Amino acid sequence: MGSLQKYCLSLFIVLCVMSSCNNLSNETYYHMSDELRKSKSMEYTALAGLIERGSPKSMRLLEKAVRLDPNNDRAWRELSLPYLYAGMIKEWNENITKAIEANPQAWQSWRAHDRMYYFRDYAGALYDLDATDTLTKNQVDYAQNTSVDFLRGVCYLGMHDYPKSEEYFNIYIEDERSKVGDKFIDETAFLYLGIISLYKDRYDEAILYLKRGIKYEDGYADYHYHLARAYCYLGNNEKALKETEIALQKFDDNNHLQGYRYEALEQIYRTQITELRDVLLADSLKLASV
Amino acid sequence: MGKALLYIITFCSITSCDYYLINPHKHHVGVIEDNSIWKDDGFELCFEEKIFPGYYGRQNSGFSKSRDTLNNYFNDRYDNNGFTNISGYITIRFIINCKGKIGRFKIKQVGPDFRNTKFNDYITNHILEMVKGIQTWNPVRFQGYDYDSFYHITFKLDNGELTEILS
Repeated sequence: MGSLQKYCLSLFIVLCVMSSCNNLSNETYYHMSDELRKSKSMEYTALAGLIERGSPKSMRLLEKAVRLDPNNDRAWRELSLPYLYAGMIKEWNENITKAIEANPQAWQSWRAHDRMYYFRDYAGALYDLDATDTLTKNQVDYAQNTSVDFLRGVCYLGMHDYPKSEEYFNIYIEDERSKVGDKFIDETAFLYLGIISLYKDRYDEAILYLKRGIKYEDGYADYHYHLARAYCYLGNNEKALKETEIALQKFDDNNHLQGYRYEALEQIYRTQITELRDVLLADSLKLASV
Repeated sequence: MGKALLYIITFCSITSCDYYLINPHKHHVGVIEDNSIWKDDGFELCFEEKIFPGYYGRQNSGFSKSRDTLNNYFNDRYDNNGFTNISGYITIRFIINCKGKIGRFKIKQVGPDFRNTKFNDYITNHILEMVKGIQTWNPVRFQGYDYDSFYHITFKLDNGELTEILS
């Protein structure tokens, strides 16, 4: 009887070990060739892309993809995004770092983008942008369709290094002008140049930049608000008041600079426009009474 | 011998299941589960079945007034109490239920290198209490109906100063 018990127990143990080994082999995919693992990994990544990002199914598929091929940079990047959107910074960092380790050329500028717009880590973003440029010599890189020079300009503006910011916005403008023409330059570069000129008390120059920003397209309320500021500094209250009215109208139409998820750099608010308008109105009333 | 066998079995079982044990992904990334024994001041979900990310929906969830009001709220109240050696990010994650009430608070702390760290209790509690003090929240909305969602506010600290409020 005793030996039967021992026999059953041994059999049970052997079965346990065998089934766990089978599970283990399925999870490690050791039996697959490198090529097969890579293509399977890509398939899982593509499939995950068809499922709601951040959902349990999508995350499991992506984790499977990186198990199959730890160099699948796209899967690592995809894994990082739901954490980024959920404010889970450590987890985002771990996954995006893996993506960069696997393919720095593809993802380093994207980390710069995330660092800038999600964490306002401008110094860290500049480090990534510089590293990207080192990897791709004689070529202007684009992160999320934005030139790295434009992004550098934004970074320096965020760090209040206005000369450097101006320098990079101008590099960006010249580069785009030569490639696609004046009309297709991102007007935000002119908005930021206008704001920098205002910080440096160069009001006439600010007006030139801001007007250039709305030359081809009906611009945001921001252009008109900053134009109003420039006119106000120059003592032209009439023009300033006109610009605040346009700014207010556009702001109420939700036509103003906004961040994708968080506040944009130098974003304006309605109260700023109304405060400026009230000051200008009070001044004009004062003048009328004199 | 018996012990060695037991260790082998345990090891094999764990390694075979690690895929599920490490991160089982029971919910959408970001969902805050209620692991506490005590409820957050009677906070309750409207729908246990689904908690949406706050950025979903026809109307995203979040602070119901403008962002500058929120910035002013924190900037006016924040006081580092002399703790000037703190740099990094404090994220307060919480749920906004369908009635606009908030609860299930979680605090995440990372340094400037985005790795986990532990800041002074005073600072984290101070920021948490400020967040708890806000009463005006919009729930996430789909097709005219309000639902529960998870949301977060990240505070960037630089040498004890509150430099960015990311919400």
